[in-house]
Amino acid sequence: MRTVAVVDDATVIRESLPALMPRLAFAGGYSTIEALLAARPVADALVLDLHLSNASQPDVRQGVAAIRAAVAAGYRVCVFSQEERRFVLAACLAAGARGVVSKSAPTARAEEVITAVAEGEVVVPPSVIGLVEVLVRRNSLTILSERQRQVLAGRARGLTYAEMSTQLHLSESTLRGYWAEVSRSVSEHFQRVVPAELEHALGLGPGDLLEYWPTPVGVTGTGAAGAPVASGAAVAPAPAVAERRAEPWWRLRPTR
Amino acid sequence: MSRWADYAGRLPSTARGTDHAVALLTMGIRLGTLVQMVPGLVQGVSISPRPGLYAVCWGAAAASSLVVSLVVFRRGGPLSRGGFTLDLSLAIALMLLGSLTVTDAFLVGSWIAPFPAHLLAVLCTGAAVLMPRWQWVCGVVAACAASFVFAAPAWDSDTATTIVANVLTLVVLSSVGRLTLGYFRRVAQDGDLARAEATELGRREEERRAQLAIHNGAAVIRMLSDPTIDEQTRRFLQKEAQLESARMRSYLQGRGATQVGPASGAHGVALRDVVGATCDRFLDLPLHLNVDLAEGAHVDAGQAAALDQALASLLLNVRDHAGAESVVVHADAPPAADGDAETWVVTLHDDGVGFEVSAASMGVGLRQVVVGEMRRRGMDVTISSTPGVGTTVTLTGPCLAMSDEGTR
Repeated sequence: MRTVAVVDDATVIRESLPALMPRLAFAGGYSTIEALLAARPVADALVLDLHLSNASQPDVRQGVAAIRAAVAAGYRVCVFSQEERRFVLAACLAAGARGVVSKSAPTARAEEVITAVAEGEVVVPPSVIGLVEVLVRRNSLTILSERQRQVLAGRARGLTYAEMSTQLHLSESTLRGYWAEVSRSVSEHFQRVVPAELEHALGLGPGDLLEYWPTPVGVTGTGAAGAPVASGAAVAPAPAVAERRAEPWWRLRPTR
Repeated sequence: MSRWADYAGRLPSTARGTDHAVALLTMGIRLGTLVQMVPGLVQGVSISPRPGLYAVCWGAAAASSLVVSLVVFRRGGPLSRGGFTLDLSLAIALMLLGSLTVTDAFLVGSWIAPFPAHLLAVLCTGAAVLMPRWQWVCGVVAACAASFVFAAPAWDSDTATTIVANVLTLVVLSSVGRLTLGYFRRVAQDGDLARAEATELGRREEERRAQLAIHNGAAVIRMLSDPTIDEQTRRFLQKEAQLESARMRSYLQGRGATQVGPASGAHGVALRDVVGATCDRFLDLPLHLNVDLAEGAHVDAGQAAALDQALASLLLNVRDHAGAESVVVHADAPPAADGDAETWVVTLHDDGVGFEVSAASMGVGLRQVVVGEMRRRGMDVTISSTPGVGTTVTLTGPCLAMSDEGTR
């Protein structure tokens, strides 16, 4: 049985997950990433909500800053959030999260994803798979094997392993292996790629990803989804829009 | 040079961007005039009756041009009113002193005497400065007077028309410049106001969508939390809660944000818009939309209507019969081999109960609306389904056109 810790500002989530996911052992529930880092529970994975700020804890670290803090502390992070914007979810993977699962997913599916992350797998959320397909089509992300490409195409179309198994005449475990390789490549690519390259590959405007994407350590600003982050932390939040506006006027970009 | 040209094309079309354009214009005028002055410097010094004073006046004009260029560059906009007053005063003083440094033969129509050109550049710089009209008129009158005084020693029947024309040039160029720049500034300010208004309207629309997305859900949750409800009502409410949860999720995914259908353009109708608009009518389904690979693919209006009907019919079937936890709609326009026609592929997959395709008798909706109408318009449909696993419907057809933003 895998052991996980939970960081979520909602008490009901922290306290109900152990009852809802009996195949997982829970090492503790924390309302902030700071509380988790102070306690340092031993766990195979950390279930982390993206939005941790609320009226009683307005200035806590959240978003990609919280992910990076947990990753830096050695945790495998599985984001468990209502966030659905795919660029934000991709940014979570870029910040080092090993998996993302929506709070609106069926409980069994959520448990399955958290377990997979605890076992060291990378779980790319469905909404990000579409982005991955575009990156592969536009040669921004190289996936060498034809089989991996076929599995990616199947996953992007929502096919189950059983359906792909029938189509490709391969066992489900083989297909899962291919998908695990693709997921690792995607995770590594997102952590390596600079926002400008991704914007170019996805046909976005310059700067469109700056609000979401994590930046190298040492920069201060705002985290994913505009989340406020503590300055001076061991992790790096994404630059704020205001930072772009503070650029010299001769470097400004056109209004869209 | 190309970088500057590229930069000019990237200036924001806001009021601040207009100021940046004015800064560039001012720098161009001042530095351009300075460059024009340089070739006459050596000859001017050599033939001047007061070469020392000539050099000082020339240097002061050049220095003022450089300083003004630097100041507007740093400000990212025109000079301040005080800065312009200082600049103009210096230019007028140089006109008065400069007339002592050049012989009468070079006072009119020669770059040996660069001071009138410098004065014109200064006045054009002032055209962009915000100031009351009376102050602007005073400045122009003073500049005209200085121009007359400068050229007066050379006045005769041959030069009179040129001197008068030069003075008129000061008035006309600077005034037209002031009117034009004022107009551009107003257009940009109106643009800023329109953007702010659009942002506010967008915010209100977002607020309305959020209220629509959650108000039913909030009521269902409140009723579900009532411990006194009977089991039958609870089951009904749980079903409603699932639907409301799917609607809320659709809202969080940004679906259903557009109120209008796909627009027909020069290339036809964008495939991803057709698919997106149809899916937006099924916000209660747990739907994932992957249509990025179809970017740039277009279909004609007839095919778009048939595709919309077919897709809607299929989604209705999913809603009513599939019991799916996940529905994925995928659109692609795969790269065509040389000589082959461009095609598109739309796939609809659900992980619901599925059915035995060979044994199933398709209803009127599937048989006529989906298969019949699609094939009549040159498109194709294939359905594969496995009981207990799910169903995949693949719709294919020819692209009317691939616009430049395509994924190739």
